Amino acid sequence: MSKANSVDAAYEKENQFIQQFKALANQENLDPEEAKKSMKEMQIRYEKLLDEVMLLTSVGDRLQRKIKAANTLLKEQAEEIRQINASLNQKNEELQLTIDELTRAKSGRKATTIILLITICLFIASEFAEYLFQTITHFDQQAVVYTTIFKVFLCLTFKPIESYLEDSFLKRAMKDRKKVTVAVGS
Amino acid sequence: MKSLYIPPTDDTPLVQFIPETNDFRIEGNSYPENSAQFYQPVVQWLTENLGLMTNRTTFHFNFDYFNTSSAKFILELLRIIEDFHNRGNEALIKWYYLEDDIDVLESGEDYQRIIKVPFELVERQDV
Repeated sequence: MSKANSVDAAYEKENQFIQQFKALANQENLDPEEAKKSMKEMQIRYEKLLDEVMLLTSVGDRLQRKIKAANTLLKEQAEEIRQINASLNQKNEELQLTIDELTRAKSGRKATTIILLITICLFIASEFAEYLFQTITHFDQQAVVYTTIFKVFLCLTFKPIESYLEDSFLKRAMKDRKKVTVAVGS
Repeated sequence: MKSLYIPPTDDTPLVQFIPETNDFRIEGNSYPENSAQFYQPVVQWLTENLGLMTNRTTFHFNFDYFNTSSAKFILELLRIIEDFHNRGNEALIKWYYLEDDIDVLESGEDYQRIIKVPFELVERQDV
């Protein structure tokens, strides 16, 4: 049943009475007693209907006020949610920057650790090389010169090697993070 | 004397008559898609059975929310109770409302003004 039909159904008795009263009013040679009785009934029903209309108007107004109050509250809450979202987005950006910094620091530390290990190994290797030079050439001074040059060369390459390693680790970490983000997104 | 039980749903209230205690009860939410379809059987039951009640009957109306078309039928039920009372039978109407629910309270006051039957407004606590 449609909404209009359901409202009609709610007022079926009232409609029926109106139809009866209309039929009576259109009668020719209406009996005065019958007319008076119908008028009386009409008066009683009209009073009841008036009470009903006033009550329903009052109920309707109250419901509308309630809806208006609910709408206002919803708007306020929507605005609050919008502000919280904006704040969360900002926090996300800050978090992202922090993560990037941490990743960079981690990569740097890794590279430094590796360089340190290489340094130790090369130091041991250079001492051994110096010993070998001395043994092969039997010229202490030359051996010292060669090994010193070798050590200087190594020192000069440390920083570039460290930077290269740091960049490699950083690129790999960023790539891994992108893979995780894509996997979570899908 | 027949008992009556219509279970509650999200949109319609519990309707119950307990013959042992002579208690008639409507409680819950009332915003059915078709109020006439829901309430006309209740109106009919009350019209047919109210005359069979001999002891004092208490009518409990305990709504959380009702729409405008339900308000029309609530009035119709109250009018039937009023006719029953006017025929010399004992009837008491209890209209319940939550402490902070001004809307249900004021609706009860509106009905109290129209219906000439002992009519109590009862504040209830939320459980």
